[in-house]
Amino acid sequence: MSVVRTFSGRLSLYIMLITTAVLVIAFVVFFGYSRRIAEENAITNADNMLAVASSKIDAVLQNVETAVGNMSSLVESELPVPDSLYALTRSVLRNNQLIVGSAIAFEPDFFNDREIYFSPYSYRDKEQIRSIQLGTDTYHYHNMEWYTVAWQEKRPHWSEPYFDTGGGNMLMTTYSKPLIDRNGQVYAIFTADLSLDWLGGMVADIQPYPNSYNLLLSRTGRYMVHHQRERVLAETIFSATETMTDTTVQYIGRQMIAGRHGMAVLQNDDTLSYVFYTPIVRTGWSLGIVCPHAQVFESVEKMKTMVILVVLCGLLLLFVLSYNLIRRLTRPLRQFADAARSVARGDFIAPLPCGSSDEELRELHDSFCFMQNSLSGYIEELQQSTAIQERIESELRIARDIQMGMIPKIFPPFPERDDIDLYAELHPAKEVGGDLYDFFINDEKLYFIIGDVSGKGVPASLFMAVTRSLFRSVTTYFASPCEIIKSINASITENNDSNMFVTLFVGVLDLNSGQLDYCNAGHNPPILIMPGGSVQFLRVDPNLPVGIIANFEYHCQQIHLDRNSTLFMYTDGITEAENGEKALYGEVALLSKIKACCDIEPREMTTTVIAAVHEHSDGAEQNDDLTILDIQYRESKIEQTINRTITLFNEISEISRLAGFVECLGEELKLSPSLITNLNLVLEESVSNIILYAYPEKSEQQITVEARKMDDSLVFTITDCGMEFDPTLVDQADITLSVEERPVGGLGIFLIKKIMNEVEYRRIDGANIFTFKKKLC
Amino acid sequence: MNTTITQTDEKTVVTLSGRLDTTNAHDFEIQIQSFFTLSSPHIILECAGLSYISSSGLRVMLILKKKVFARNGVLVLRQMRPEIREVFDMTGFSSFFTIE
Repeated sequence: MSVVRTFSGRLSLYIMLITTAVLVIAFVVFFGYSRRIAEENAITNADNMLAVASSKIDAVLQNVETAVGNMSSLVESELPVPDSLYALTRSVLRNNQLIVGSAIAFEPDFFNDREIYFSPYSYRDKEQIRSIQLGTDTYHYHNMEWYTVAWQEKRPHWSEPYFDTGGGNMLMTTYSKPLIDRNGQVYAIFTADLSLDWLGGMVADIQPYPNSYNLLLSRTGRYMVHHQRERVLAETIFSATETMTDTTVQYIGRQMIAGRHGMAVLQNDDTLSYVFYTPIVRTGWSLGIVCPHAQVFESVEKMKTMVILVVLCGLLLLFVLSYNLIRRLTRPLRQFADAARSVARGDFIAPLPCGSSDEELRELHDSFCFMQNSLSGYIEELQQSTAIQERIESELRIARDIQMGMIPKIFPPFPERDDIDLYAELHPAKEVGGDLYDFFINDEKLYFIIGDVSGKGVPASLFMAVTRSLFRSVTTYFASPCEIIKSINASITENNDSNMFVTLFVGVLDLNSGQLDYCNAGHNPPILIMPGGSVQFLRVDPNLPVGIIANFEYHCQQIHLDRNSTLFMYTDGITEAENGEKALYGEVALLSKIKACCDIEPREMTTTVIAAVHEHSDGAEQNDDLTILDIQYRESKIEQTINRTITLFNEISEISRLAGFVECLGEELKLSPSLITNLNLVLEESVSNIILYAYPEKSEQQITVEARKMDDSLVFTITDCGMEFDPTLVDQADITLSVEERPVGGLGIFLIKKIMNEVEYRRIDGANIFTFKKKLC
Repeated sequence: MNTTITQTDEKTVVTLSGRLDTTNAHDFEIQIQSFFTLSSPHIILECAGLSYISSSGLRVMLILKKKVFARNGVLVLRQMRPEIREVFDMTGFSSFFTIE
């Protein structure tokens, strides 16, 4: 199972997500603030450093200015003795070790007793201070910058830095102070040459970040201090950065030489840098610090990495802890889930997690216990009632099978005959029902019955079974429908304590002549469909249903059926089928339905009518059994193969019925009188033998005689369930004996063998089956 | 089966009609027992109406023949139908019955 899919996993994940979101927001705010602080610190730091450095430089420069200023005030008093002026310049050098040379350059022709260009000048030569007259005919100093600017502006002036070509290639600058007389005319320029070698060291001391570097620009933007020493004085900030795409540096350069104080961000060769700058007002120089951006925020970045690592570790730890914690808290829920599964499997005593101190879980535990107890109670009840129900249902199913087994259900029932087609259906409203139908052919007569027992269900089904059994047994004695019904009525009324009754319609159709004898005992009148398509109810006498009055005189009726007539019989379940509005299907609808389909075969007609009834009821519950018995009497196209059966009881009086059977058979097959006599003889011999000897206990038993005409032979089969007896084994009578010698018995089997062509005996399943064949030529 | 017995001087004429089968052979046997006491009986069985005879009937016939024979009597069967005659022929009864 994926962790994310579990409750604990998901909850932990949600906690994680929320925590992470909060942390990210805090982080962004914190680092934004940290960066600003870092930047402000960097600015403050740089500003401080720049301020310190610039004030140091300024102090040095002021010293120079002071030294020159002190000496220049003495010049006027020394003018009368021009040579004493050398001493002044020497004192300047003595006072300030950084000053490497000092001159007092007078206006040309200032002294009449001196050269045109008079300029006492002292300078350091190693440890010595030497003095010379600077002005010569070739060195016209009053054209020099240090002279002209101070002269024109009439105020002190610091020169552009330069390399001293004379002594030691030092970086120098010259301070020029104009000496002005009472008339406001400049008469001399007092100068001090300042070595700037100390500047590099001082500026280099400003190191706020390991990789930061500094620069000092002159008034014109020329590098005075640069970490690339070859650039010093050789390039200006503008010439050195001409090729750069970022013009910020040009802007910075302009700001710096304009004497501004500030900061800018500079993109240089993929490196982002901060530039801080401040002016040195006294000389118009500008001091700058270039700090790599990364280093300004290095500590912030380090802190960020560390914080991220710590947060990630913390989140992981939080996830693991919360996951485990929630798992532990939800363990009872999982145990409840297991218990629920056990309950679903039918185990109602699955252990429940207990001892939880949580109010919710305790409540769940109680509910679960209650559910288990209730369920196990319900299931027990359900099992009991289901078992009872199942037993009843199973019994009813068996009863239904038995009941359905009582009625013929194989259609067509007489596939060998083409003169009769018959179809029937019975749909009990419940498992078993009180409707019945039955039919069979005996001796070229179709006996049929349809009936409806009052009531439904099991009682009706028992009554139905009784009625159907009575029909089968009564028809062995009676061939007339009213006799059949009378007999059934007599049997039923004899023991009818439940006062049930059954409506019956019984018919006997002579399949040779088409004569239909029928008797209707209170049943729905059948519908008769004539060959021409005329459809009508069969006229029936109003007889009482069976089972009401003993000895009721039932009337028989007779009608001749033409070939291709159909007799449609049904029970009131058809006509009284109700729909949702309690409207009955009715006889009118049935009649018109039959009219509409009068020319189809019984099976289709039956299914059509049942479908129409179902359509009418439209899903409403079937409230009565539905039965249809549809008989079509047809033209026969094939020659009849004769197949006749008679069932006899083991009473000697039955021999006359047997004689009648043989007479009819002989008549039908147009046999000669002597053959009829012979057949009579043979059958009587066999049957009387059985009647007299097969049942020593004389109980009532049946003997079946079947006659079949097959091709040119007549085959008789006599079946009985008496003692095993093989007549073929009996000794033959000796017909050659004289009258005195002839025994009086033993003739029967002799005659059988004599008359018939083939004689065969078999014993099958406790039955004697005696078959003999006579060839008809 | 109907049996009519007519007694004249010396002859007893028994007219048989219908079927002589297992159901009535015993009755017929009782009816003819009265003849068994006669000496030299002369019995004529008129068989024109006899439509059928079973082996039980034959048995009674044989008993009658034996009794008559034992008392030196005469038993004549007359006007037997062909199908009855056929049965007598089949069983060899024709050989010792006088059939006219």
